[in-house]
Amino acid sequence: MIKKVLIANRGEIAIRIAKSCKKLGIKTVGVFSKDDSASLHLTYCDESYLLGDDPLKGSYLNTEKLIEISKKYSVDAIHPGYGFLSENSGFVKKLNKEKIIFIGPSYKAIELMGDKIESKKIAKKAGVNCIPGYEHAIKNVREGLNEAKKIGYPVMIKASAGGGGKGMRIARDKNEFEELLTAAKNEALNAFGDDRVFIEKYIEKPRHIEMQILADNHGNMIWLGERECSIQRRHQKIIEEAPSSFIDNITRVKMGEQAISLAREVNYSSAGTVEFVVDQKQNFYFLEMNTRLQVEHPVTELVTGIDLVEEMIHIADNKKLKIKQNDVKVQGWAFESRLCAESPKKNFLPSAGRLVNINYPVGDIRVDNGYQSGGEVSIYYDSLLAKIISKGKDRNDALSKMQRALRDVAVEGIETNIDFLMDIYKKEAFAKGEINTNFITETYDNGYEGKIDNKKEQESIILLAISYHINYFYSVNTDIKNISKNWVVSWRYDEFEININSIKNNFISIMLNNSLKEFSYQIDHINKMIQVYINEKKIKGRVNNHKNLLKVFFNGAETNINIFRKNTYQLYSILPKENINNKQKNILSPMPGKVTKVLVKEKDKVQEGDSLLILDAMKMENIIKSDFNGVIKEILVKENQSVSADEMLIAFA
Amino acid sequence: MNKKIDHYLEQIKVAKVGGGQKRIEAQHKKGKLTARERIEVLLDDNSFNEIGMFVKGKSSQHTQEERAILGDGVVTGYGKINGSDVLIYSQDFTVYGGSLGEEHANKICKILDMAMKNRIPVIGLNDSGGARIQEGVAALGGYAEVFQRNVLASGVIPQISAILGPCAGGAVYSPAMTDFIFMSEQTSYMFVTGPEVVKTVTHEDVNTEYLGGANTHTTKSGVADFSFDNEITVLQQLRRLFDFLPQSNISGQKFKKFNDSINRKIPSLNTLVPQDKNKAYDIKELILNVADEKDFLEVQKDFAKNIVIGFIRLEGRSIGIVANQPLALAGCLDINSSRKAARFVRFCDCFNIPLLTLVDVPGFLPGTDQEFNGIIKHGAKLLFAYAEATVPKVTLITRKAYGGAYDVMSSKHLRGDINYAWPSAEIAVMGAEGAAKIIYKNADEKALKEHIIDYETKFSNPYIAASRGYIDEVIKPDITRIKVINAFKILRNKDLKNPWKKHDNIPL
Repeated sequence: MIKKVLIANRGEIAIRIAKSCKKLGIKTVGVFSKDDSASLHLTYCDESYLLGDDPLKGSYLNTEKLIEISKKYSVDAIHPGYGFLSENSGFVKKLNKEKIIFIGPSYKAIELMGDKIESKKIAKKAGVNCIPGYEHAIKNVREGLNEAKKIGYPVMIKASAGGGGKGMRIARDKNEFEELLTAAKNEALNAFGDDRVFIEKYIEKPRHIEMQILADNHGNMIWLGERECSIQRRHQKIIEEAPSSFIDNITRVKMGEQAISLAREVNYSSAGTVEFVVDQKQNFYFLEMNTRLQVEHPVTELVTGIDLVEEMIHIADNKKLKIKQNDVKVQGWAFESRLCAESPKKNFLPSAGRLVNINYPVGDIRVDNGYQSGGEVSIYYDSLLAKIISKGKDRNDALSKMQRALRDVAVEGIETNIDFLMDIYKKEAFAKGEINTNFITETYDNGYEGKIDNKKEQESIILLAISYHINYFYSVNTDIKNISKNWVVSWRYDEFEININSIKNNFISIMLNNSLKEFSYQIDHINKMIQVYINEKKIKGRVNNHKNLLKVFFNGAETNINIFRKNTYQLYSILPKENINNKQKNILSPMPGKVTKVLVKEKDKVQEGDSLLILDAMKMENIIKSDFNGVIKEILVKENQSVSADEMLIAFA
Repeated sequence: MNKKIDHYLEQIKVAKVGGGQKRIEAQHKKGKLTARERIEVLLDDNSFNEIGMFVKGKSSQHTQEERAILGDGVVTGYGKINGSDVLIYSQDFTVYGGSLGEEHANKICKILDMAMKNRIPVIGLNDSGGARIQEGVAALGGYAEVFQRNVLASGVIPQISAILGPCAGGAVYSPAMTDFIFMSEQTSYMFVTGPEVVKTVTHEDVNTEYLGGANTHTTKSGVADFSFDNEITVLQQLRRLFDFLPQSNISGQKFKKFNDSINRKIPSLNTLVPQDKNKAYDIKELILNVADEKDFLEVQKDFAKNIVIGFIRLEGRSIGIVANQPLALAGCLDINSSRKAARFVRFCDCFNIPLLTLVDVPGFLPGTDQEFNGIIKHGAKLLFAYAEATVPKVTLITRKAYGGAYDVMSSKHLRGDINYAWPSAEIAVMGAEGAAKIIYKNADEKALKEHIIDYETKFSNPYIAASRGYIDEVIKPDITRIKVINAFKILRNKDLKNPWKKHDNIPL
C-alpha cells in the first residue's frame, strides 16, 4: 500500500503529482536543489528535503541521496515526473533493490524502448508500422530504383555520413531518381568524403500524433486516444491537442491497437505513450515510445476524464485497472499551450531571471503552473513556466476558450512566448487543422515578428493605446476641458487622426478615420492589461509605457505607438528623423555564453536581421542577428571567448 | 480703426517669426524647435498668454547692423500644464543666437517676479549663445539679476530648466540653481568654459558633446536630472514631472485619480530579498510595487546608481522616494550618492512632499578616493538633510542597515516618524563577520566561525532595534504598500517646526 510518495522532480509536474496524491490521501515528500529552496512546488508537499547544492547532478539526478531520503523518511514510492530520472533504468534497478516502488514501468521496458535501434526492431516484431526504407548503401541506380519502387515515392535519399541536410534529396518519381541520386552522392562525397547513400520513405507534411496507453501489472492494457503535437519549435512541442483533427476513427483504432501490441511485447505497465509520424494519407509510422508521463498528458485527461497520475499510482500499487477499453470515451476537445521562458523573436532563446510578476487566467481553464510572482527561473532547468489547458465541446470551442485565456496572461521580469502562442492560434491554417511539424518554420519563415495582421487588428490596437493614453490625462486634470481634443496616433509607417468628442469617467467617444467610436475601458495597472468594450465586444491587450512610447500587445501582434497632440505631432514631423534616435548602435550579448563563430568582419555592411555571430548558451546555439542596418566598426569578441550578459559584442559605425 | 488693427496684426506677425524664416529652418535642421514651438508642445492647447512680445533690445547700444527684433530673443508668458498654472520663458536661438541682453534679462526677471508674487512654478527653456557681447556689462548685470531671483525663489516655487541648445559660461548658473534640469541628447550642452578654452589652458582635446552633453551631465557630473533623445520627449516628460510637483511651498499637493487598491497585497515581495545575503536585488521592484499604479518617475537615474530617487504617488498624492540600490556598489553610500539624495530630500522638504526611505545599506564606501574628496562633509549633507526635514518621514529597512549609514538613512533618531523593518532586516554596527573578527581578535578559525553564527543569530535581525523602539513595526513584505499608506495617512497633519534661525549651515 502506497502511503507516502517522494516526487523526484520540480516545477509544474511536481505540483501536478502532489495534487493527485493529496486527492488519494497519500503524503508527499518534495525535494529540491539549493537554488530551489524557495520553489513553489515545495509548498504543495507535506515534507521537503534538500538534495544538494548542485543544480542537477548533485540534486535532481542524485539517485543515492533520493534513496537515502526515501529510506530515512519511510517513503513507499517515487514518482519521477518527466525528464530527470523518469527514463533511467539504472535508477529503477536501484529502487527495486531497496524495495522502493518506482511509479512507472519496469526497468526492462525502459531499457528496451530507450534504445533507438532496439525499439524499432521490437516494434516491427509487434506488427507496428515502421517507416519503410532500405538500410543498406545503394550500390547502383538500378538497385536504387528497385528499392524506391518497393518503398513507394516520394523517397528521401540520405547520405550515410549525413547531417545538416547535406547530401539529402527528395525524389518524387522514378524519372528524377537517377539525377538526384547522383547529385546526393556527389554532395555527400564533397561534404563528408563518403558517397554512400541510403533511401527511406519521405513523409510529406508529417504530423506528430501519439497514443496514450495505460497498462497494469496484471496484463490489462487500454489505449486512451491520441494527442496531436505537430506544433513544434526547435523539435520541441509547444501546442498539443486531443483528439487529432486529422485522423479518422479507423486510423485511431489501428493506432491504438498497435500501441497496445507494442506495449504487450515489452510487458509494459504504467502510463506510456507511443509516438507516430503520420503522412497526408493517414499512414502512420512508429517513432518511439515514451515510457513516462508526458508533459502534454492533461489534454488526454480533459477529454477522457481519467486522472493519469492517479492511475499510475494505483498501477504501481499493484492494483488492477478498473477502466476497460469500452469505458474509454473521448468527449469534447482539449488544447494545451506551453508557456515558456523564451524569446520567440530571438529564435526562441531561453530567458531566465526573477519572475517579477506573472498573472494566470482563471475560470473555465486548467492551469498547471510551476511558478508564481516572485519566483526565480533558473538557467539550469526546463523553460516551461506553466501549461494552460482548455476544454471545449468541440475544437472551435476549445480554441476560443484558449484564446480568451491567453489574453489574461501577463508576465514581467523575463521574456515568454505568450504572444507567439496567441499568434499561432489566430492563424487560419491552424484553425482549420492544417498543421504539420514544419508549421512554425513554414509559417514564420522570417521568424516571429509580431506583425499586425489586418485593419481590424490595427483599429483594436489604436483603441487600446488611446484609452491608456487618455486615461492619464483624465486622471491628472481636474477639469477635463483642459484635455486636448485632437490627437495623432503614429507608428512607423502609419498615422491616424483622432478627435475626441467627449470623455466621461472611463467612457470615451472619438472620431477615428471619420467614423464614430464610442467605448469604455478598464485598466489593470498591476498586470499592465487593458480592456476596451465597444459595441458589446471586448478587446483585451497589454500596454507598456516607455517614455513617450506605448508598446501594445494584442492577440499576438506587438507594436510601438506614439500618441501626440495634433499640434505637437506637426512639430514632431518637422524635425529631421535622423536626429531623433541617433544613439550609438551596438550589439550586446543577450545572455551569458561563449562565442563559437563570428560570421562578419569589420567594415562589413549588414542589414537588419543579418546573422552576425553564433553564441553558445544554455546548451543551445543561438544566432545573434543585427538589430540595425549599417557598417560594422569593431568586433569586440573573438571566437571561443566567454561573454557575460549585456557585454558589447559588435559596435556599428 | 481697422487700419490700427491691421497694423497690430502685422506687428504680431513680425514678432512671431523671430529671427526670420531662414533661421527657423536652420534651427529645425539641427533637430531643434523654435522658442514658440517649444511652448506649444509644453503647454496645454491654446493656454499660452505671451507677455512682452513687443519688448525691444537697447538698439542704440547695438553695434550690429540688424535692427532690434521684437521680443529681444526670449519668449515669456504664462499658461497651463494639465490645468495647473505655470510661468515660462523660452530663449529664441533665431534671435541674436538667443543671447542675453539687458531687456532679455528683464523679461525673465519679470516672469520670476510674477511667479514669486503669485506662487506659481517657473519653467525656463534655455537655448542661448551666452551674454550679448555688444551690450557688455549690462548683459552680465542681467545674468546676476536672474540669479538673484532664482535664489530667492528657491524653496518657494518649483523651478525647472530644460537645456535645448547651448548653455555656456555664466548662463549655466541660472539652471544650476533651479530644482530640476532636463537636457536633449546631441542637441544641447552645458559648460562653464568651452572646448577651445579648455584646450589652451589644460591642453585637453574634447568636443562639446563630451565636455558638456546630456550624457556627460546625466552620468558623470550629475548636473542634469533627465535627458531624452529628442526635444519633444524632453518637453512631454517635463510635463510628467510637473504633474508630481505642488504649485508652491504653501499650496497643497496635487491629486491624481488612481485606479489601484489601497489594500493591495504583494506576495512576490516575500521573495524579493534573496536568501543568500550577498546576492543583489533590484530595489526598483519594491518601489514600483508600492506605488499607485506601479508608476515611478525616477530622477537622475543614470548618476550614482547606488541610490535611487524619484517620485511615486500614494492614494493619488506625491511621495518622494530615496532608496539604496543593492544592484550598484551593494547600495553603499559614497560622495555622489550622498549629494544626489541630500539635494532631493531637501527639495521634498521645501515643498512638503512626504519622504519614503527604503534602506539596504552596508555602510559608506571606503577608500582614499572617497576620503580625499571629502566623504565626511558630503555624507554629512544627507544626514543634515534628513535631520532638518520636517515632512512626514516613513522608513523601511529591507535588509542591511549597518553602522553610521543606518543613522543617516532616515533613522528614528533623525525624527523618522514611522520606521518599519522586514523580517530580513539586519540592524547592527556592522556585518556579523566583521564584528566577530573585531570582538574575538585572537579566536582561531573554527571558533571564529561559531562566533560569527552566534553574532548573526543575536544581532543580525530587526528585533533588537525594535525592542528599543528604533523600529516601530516589523512587517511582512507582502503588506508593505498597505502599511506605508497607513503610515502616511496618520502623518497627514504632521506639524513640526525647526527652531527659528536665519538659515542653517549645511556642510556644503
